Amino acid sequence: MDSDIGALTVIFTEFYYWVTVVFMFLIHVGFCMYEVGASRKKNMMHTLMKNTMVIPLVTVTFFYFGWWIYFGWSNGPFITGGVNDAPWATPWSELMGTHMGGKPANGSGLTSDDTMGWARINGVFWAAFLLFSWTAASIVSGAVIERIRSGAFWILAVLIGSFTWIIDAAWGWSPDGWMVQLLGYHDAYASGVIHAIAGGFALGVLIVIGPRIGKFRADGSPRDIVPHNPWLVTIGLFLIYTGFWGFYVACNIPIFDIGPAAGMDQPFFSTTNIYLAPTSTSAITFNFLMSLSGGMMAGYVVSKGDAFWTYSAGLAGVIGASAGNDLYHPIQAMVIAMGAAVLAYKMHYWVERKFKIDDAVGAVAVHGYAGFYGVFICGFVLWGYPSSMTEGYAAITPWGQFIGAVIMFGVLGFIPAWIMSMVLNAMGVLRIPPRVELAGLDLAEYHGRYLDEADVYEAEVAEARARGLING
Amino acid sequence: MSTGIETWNQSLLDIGAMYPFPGTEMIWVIIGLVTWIGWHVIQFKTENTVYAEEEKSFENKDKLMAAMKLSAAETLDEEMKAHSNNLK
Repeated sequence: MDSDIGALTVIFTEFYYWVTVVFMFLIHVGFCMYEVGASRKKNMMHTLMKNTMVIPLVTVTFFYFGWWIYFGWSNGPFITGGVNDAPWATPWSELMGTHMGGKPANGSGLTSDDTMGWARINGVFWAAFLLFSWTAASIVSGAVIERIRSGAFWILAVLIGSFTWIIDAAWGWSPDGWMVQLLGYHDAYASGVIHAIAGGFALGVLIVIGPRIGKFRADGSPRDIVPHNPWLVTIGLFLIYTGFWGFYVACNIPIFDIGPAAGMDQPFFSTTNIYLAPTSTSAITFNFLMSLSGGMMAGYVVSKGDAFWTYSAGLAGVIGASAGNDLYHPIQAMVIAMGAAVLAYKMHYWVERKFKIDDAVGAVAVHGYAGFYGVFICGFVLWGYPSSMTEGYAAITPWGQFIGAVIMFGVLGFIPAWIMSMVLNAMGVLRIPPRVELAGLDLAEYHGRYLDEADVYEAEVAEARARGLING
Repeated sequence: MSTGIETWNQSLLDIGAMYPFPGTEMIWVIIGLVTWIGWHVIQFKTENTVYAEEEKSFENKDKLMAAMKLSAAETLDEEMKAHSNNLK
């Protein structure tokens, strides 16, 4: 921080990530509004608090172990190497707090380069990843509304938010992750590393927890459980769109000298993706908007103008194109997005009818199936592209992407969720008791308030009678 | 007595950790972990108690029916229900 340009670069980068965090906060606001709107009135407050408490619980656990996993486990461990040393990311590191960048304490394991490099970036970089963690947990939250116990959901939220998703980020969303090295895995804006894993995770929970009472008729056909407030759903989805802008730019590194990695004998400063390979904010702005548009257009047609599915298809479109949106042409992004939207819509209803899966908000389809598709299709469209700036790493291929998508959706999404849900179910703490589910979750948790409300009404009537304002 | 930094009148290049009580980080991590686990334990106990009480309370079938009617009335008002029945 002893030159103007050096200070400007560092503090711009610090501010850049801070802004992405504020934008991404809107994703969580949007998910909360969406879920509350989609629930029935009797379950509103339970639905709201279930997702709201993701914020503190995933935050503290991401501080305790999530951040370290990202740096420590990029080799598997034991696939391409052991556990990495990451002394800036352990919760007891001096760099996990206010720090001026001076020399480290003796015995900390840090070097002066570590402290200079991480002091002003660690917190905002940590927070950018953390907001992805909230998103992963929040995607699951919507699918399981109106019957999951909050305590069980919060265990599952920590499992995906601070453990499994950050393992997949270490493996496939870091410059030296083993999936990048060996499979050529490419997933620039997280089709797989956030969306496919969250969709697979939601499916694992849904299979164990079962449908809401009344969702399916005796003949197995599904009933629609209508959102109690479509306007809240609409605003929620718009806010998720808005937060998605922050998500996209948070996946980039704004200023990085990629000249040396490219073998140039001079600096070349560029925006890069998470793999430290070149892209630009302008490129991803083209592609974000074109894939959103492709998803909405296809969603409108395939759903015959259904508002819920048109909005959701916009998300599915962006998610379907996200793996390669650092490099696609905008019209390629649009066409890929249309495929994702149609796939999500068709798969949602097919799985619902065939397997009696009650996914209240279509999260498995919009995030899981569209995310899987997005990773896989990227293998065809970017076939042969280098997966990183490092010579010798595998190139992008359809089979590398397919294996990657299976790891995201199945290995790190579905399987841990299914196992943990089975454990919670065996302990009798996964599902709301049936009488409480029938009566309404809010009536149980806010019983006192309901009784007070009745008391207040009776007191008002008594007062009105006493004053002669009403008869009786 | 100082819990950390005593003066800003020094080379800022030499300043590392700025929070009070540097060197006690591990203790704070243990406090944080215990707080997190403890929170889940308390929450689970409270939730189990609430649901056990409610389940017991709704063993009264009339009470459960009344609660379900209240919920249904909030979701779908009587006029809408009548209209929908007419459509059938």
